[in-house]
Amino acid sequence: MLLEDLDDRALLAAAADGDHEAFSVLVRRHSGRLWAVAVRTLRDREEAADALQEALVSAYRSCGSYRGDAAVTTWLHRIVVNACLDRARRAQVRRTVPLPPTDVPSPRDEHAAAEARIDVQAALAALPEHQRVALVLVDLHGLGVAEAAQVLGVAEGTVKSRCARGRAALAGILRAGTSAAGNPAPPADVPPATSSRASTDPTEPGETT
Amino acid sequence: MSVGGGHPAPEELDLLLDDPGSAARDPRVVEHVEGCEQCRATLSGMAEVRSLLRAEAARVPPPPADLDARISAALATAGDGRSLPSGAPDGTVVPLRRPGPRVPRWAAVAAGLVVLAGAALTATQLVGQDRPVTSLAERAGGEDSSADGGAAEAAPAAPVVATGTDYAPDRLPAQVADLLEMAPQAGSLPLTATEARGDAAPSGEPLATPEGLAGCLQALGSPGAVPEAVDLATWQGREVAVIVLDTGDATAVWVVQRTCAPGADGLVHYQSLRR
Repeated sequence: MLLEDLDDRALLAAAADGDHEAFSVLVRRHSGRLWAVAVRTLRDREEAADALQEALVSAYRSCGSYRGDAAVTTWLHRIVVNACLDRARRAQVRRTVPLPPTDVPSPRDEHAAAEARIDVQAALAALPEHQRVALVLVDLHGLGVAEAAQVLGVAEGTVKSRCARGRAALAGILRAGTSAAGNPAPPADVPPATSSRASTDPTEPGETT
Repeated sequence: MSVGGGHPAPEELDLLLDDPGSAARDPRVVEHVEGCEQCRATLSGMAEVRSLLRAEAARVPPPPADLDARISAALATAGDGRSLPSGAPDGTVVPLRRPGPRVPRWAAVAAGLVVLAGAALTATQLVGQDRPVTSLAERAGGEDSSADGGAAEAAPAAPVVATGTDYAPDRLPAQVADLLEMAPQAGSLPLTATEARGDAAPSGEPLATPEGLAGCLQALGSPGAVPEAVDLATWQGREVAVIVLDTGDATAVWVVQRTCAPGADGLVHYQSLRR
């Protein structure tokens, strides 16, 4: 049987037994999606490339530790996301590559009012990291909430909460841009978590877990 | 829903979008949103965001052109000298065209003499020498490796040639096979003392010297390896060095910038060709 015919778990098991070509097949099978996660998380192609390379080497070295309690793709995504977050924190990417002020126009920015199109990527970049990564996995990458929770190592409710708050924050940014463009719109504030259903979370007050 | 009359939490608004017909919808949230302009605007914005993100999902920035090669190289290095994973971009392993069974070294040298004496003076030249045009044949027949200095002994000898080939991904297997047919076997023709001096090389190519090549191999994670051939050529028009390594069941081809040195391998492309 050709390696290409094996499923992910069989390939990873073969790689753990020393078949490097099996791991190579696994990488080729999933590198496109892993790249998408990396570049959307880091928003910098070179940083993302370095993070993906680091992550895959890490996965390769630790493939024997895969316990099989999650899909191989979930396991790979987790390693890639962690590598990206580690890299972002180490390099302080958000500080070294700050968004130009006009990328996220404020309602009072008349100059930015000429910019009708809101750059979704720029808006995403303005979100807190945990919200952005949740949205990247769920809305951009199409992972289910349960799988995203496994990737991030948090409860499903936390993922839902982060996505909801991220979407609300993005909506605020969009409304701010629309308002600045001259269309009447409510203020860009996000309703505070005053609901009794929203429990507290260390990451963000009001985030459900 | 807040007891005190505040706005619903984003999670509750999001739930309205998630499953409009769900029993999980809190009637109090629905009632609030119907009467709250701000929450209706937020809800509308959240729906718009979902739509925008779905559209954005189709737009993924392309990876750097050399990412596959970098990953393959990193995995090969992580393998600590064991067999290398294939770097073929399409997932196939391309058999390397080989010249057949290994022949005795003298026969290879003789064949080289015949071939090169006739076709000669094509673009194929050895580099890293202190005199002009030296063919493989001349090199094979006229050099005395015993004259090699200490520098050459410090690093494995490898045939370094400049074929003038413009390597390309789709032609790489055949081009490497041609290179291996052309180049003498690794170690059979160690660089001479003059060749071992980097400053003696007319082209000034560091990789034409044993020290330079050893440094590059170290950067590539293969310290001490003896390449089957090194070709100072071009890769899609760009000056590079093509380093060919025998890894047992495969042939590893490293395409690196000619500045390849410890700390900066300058890797341009990597591919493993199954024999």
